[in-house]
Amino acid sequence: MNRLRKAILTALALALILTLSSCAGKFDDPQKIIDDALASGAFSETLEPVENAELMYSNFGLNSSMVESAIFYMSSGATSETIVYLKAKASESMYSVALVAKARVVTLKNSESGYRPEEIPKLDNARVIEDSKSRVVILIVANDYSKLPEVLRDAPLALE
Amino acid sequence: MNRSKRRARLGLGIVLYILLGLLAIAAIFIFIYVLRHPSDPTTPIAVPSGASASPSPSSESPSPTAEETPEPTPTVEPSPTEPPTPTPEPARFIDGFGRDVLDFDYGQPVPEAEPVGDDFFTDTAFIGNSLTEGFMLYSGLTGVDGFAAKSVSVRNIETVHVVFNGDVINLMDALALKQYGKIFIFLGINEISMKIAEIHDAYGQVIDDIQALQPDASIYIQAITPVTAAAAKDKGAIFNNDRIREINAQLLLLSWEKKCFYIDTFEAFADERGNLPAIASFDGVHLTANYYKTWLAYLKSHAIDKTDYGRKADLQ
Repeated sequence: MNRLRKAILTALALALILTLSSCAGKFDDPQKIIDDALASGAFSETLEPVENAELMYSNFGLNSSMVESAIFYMSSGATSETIVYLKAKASESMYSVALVAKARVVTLKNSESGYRPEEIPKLDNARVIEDSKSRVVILIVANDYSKLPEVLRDAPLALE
Repeated sequence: MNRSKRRARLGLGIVLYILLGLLAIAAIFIFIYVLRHPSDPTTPIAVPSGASASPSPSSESPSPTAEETPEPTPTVEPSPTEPPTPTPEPARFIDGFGRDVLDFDYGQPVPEAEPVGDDFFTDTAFIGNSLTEGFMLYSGLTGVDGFAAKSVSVRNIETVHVVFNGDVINLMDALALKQYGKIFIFLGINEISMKIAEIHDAYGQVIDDIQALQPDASIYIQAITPVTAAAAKDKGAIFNNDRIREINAQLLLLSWEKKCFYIDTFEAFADERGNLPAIASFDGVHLTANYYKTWLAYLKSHAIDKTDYGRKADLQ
């Protein structure tokens, strides 16, 4: 009898763990997402993290009241390649945060047009991932999108 | 009778001669005494014009008391010449490193000195192209304003738009929003195909326009950084370090003409062959993130402080 009770409790505990782990979003571990993307070979240069978040908020036109956390990996000048992870403070901010990410692509495209035309296809194919469950927006400007991890590769285009 | 008269006259003559001899001897003694006691306050001595008539106390002759010393009366009045106008010492403005800003030679690069801290860049703006964008992102310097876009050049700086405080705004309009103490300019690489004289004139006009917007700011012209040897081969004959040196020589000339500080950022990155090391760049032109920190370190060790003094010096 005791054995049966033990087995039932163990099974319930396992079920609970599995349920909880399935609740964790695909985008809840930002550093893993970024590391996987950087290691995928989708970028033509080594992107570096920008530590000056205040500057990036300013460059992107982000309001700190709508973003809980952000990670920026940018080109140091040679290309327009980028991967940015933005976590909205509230579900209501998701739309605005995604809009900022898409606007950034337009800004980059304007900046590159007539200057480095080879960057334009990268920007035309930029991805913006919106995951309302985890309140995460990810912007990717890559050199070879086909090499991105699947979870990022199939995301909608930013300029659609 | 006649004989006695003659004797009397003779005696009187001898007495007179003796008296005259005694007077002569006395005069000689007085003369010798005066010669031996020239500082005797009771003896007036001719004083050269303009010199003090007062006796100067010396260690050998302790200063006499006021009662003992009568007021000396100079026999020769000093000539009534105009008092000499003191020549004012030129104001010396020493910067934070002991360098005399008055003597600053704008035709030379700012020399190396003890590095300053980040606070040197308070009230500073950076203007430039994609390399300035990279500097803003990766130098680690905070609290400064950057007016940069990839395509900025001396040809389009008046019309180009930059992202500033989240808004896309005309670069010069953005620069006019606030007065800065220091403005660092980095332009020239996008202009590499222009004629040298055109670069000189257009860059000079940019400096004039910035000085008009920011009359109290010191302007720092940063030399174009070198490219890698590979980039020089890949990007054509005009895109090489000899060409960059040629343009940099014009920037130095402009620094002298416009009284700007020339920062030799070419030297900061050039290897022993005068190229940007391959490890420092992905594309041969732009720096990798760490090298923007090197750039900041170079600016810190080639800072010239208290530039407002420099401006005062210019006015003299």
